[in-house]
Amino acid sequence: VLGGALKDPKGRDVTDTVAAYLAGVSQEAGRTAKLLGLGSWTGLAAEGQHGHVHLTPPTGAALLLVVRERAVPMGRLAIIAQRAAVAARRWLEAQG
Amino acid sequence: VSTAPAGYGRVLDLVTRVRGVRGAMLVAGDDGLVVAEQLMEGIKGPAVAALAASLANRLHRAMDAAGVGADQFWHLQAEQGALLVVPAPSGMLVVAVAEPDVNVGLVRLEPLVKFVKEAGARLVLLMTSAGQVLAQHGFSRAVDVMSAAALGAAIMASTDEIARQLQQPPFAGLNHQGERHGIFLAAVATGRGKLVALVVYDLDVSSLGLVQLFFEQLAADLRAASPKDSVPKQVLAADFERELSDSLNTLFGR
Repeated sequence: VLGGALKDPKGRDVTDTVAAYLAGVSQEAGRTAKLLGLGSWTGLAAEGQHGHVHLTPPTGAALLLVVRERAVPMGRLAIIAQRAAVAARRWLEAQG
Repeated sequence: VSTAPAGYGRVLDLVTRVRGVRGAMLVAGDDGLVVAEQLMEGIKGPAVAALAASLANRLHRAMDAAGVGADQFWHLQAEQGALLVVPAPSGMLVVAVAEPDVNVGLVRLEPLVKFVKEAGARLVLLMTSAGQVLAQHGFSRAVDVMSAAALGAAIMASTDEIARQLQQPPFAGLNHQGERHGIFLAAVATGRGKLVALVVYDLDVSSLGLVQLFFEQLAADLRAASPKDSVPKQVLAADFERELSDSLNTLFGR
């Protein structure tokens, strides 16, 4: 994990566990988009029973996850994720 | 290109009517195989099915770990297109391949959710008491239908015999409750004899009460649709010979 943290609804830290799963999701998303001739993938949004998630690859080697409660509409989450991706890109560049 | 069985065809029709959708398909979530499809030329159905199912499984695990619950809809956006997926309670995935500028809201809200809501039961099988299949919903392989029909009819026959030994009327229905799924088996008396219904349902989206509630409606509909009792006519040897001969001619084209 390069930065950030994630807690589940019970307050437990699930950052590393989710990051491990997301590596597989990112690989599969890239493979799916490529093999279906859709070009590079730019985002993956999913609605869950208790919350929404949005995945974006801010750079080729990094993955940004944004998780919000269900009350936040998916469109708004996408805007939040886009802004977070820009910020993450700058942060990664600054890290060298 | 359309290879959709009648029941699924309506669902796929609704999805593919949305502007920007290049095709839609139903995919078995467990093994990534195509159940039904309506795709434009050039889209490889088996590839879409396998990749969507694999991505769905990985995403499901990640969302579960994040504590946001099971995925109800997801949307993979790429530079030249998009993949939209709704996991149904039956374990199937409704998958749409779309142009990059498709109206995701339309695809997501109109037909897909309607389908998911309607699919409360995972599998339904209607058969005669001898195990002859009359109708089914949710099965993707014929061999599974035949096996389930034979086993369901056998269970009903066994319990009828137990009731007879106990000098009781036949049991109205049977329910087997597992960890994640329930099986409901019940008979319906119609004008043309007894029919048996086998219903497999997911415990997290349905319940025995709900299944029984809708089963009563199904039984009423079946009774109403069944042809009324006709007076059995006397079977004459000549009629028997003629009907047998006609049947054989029809079967073998003699």
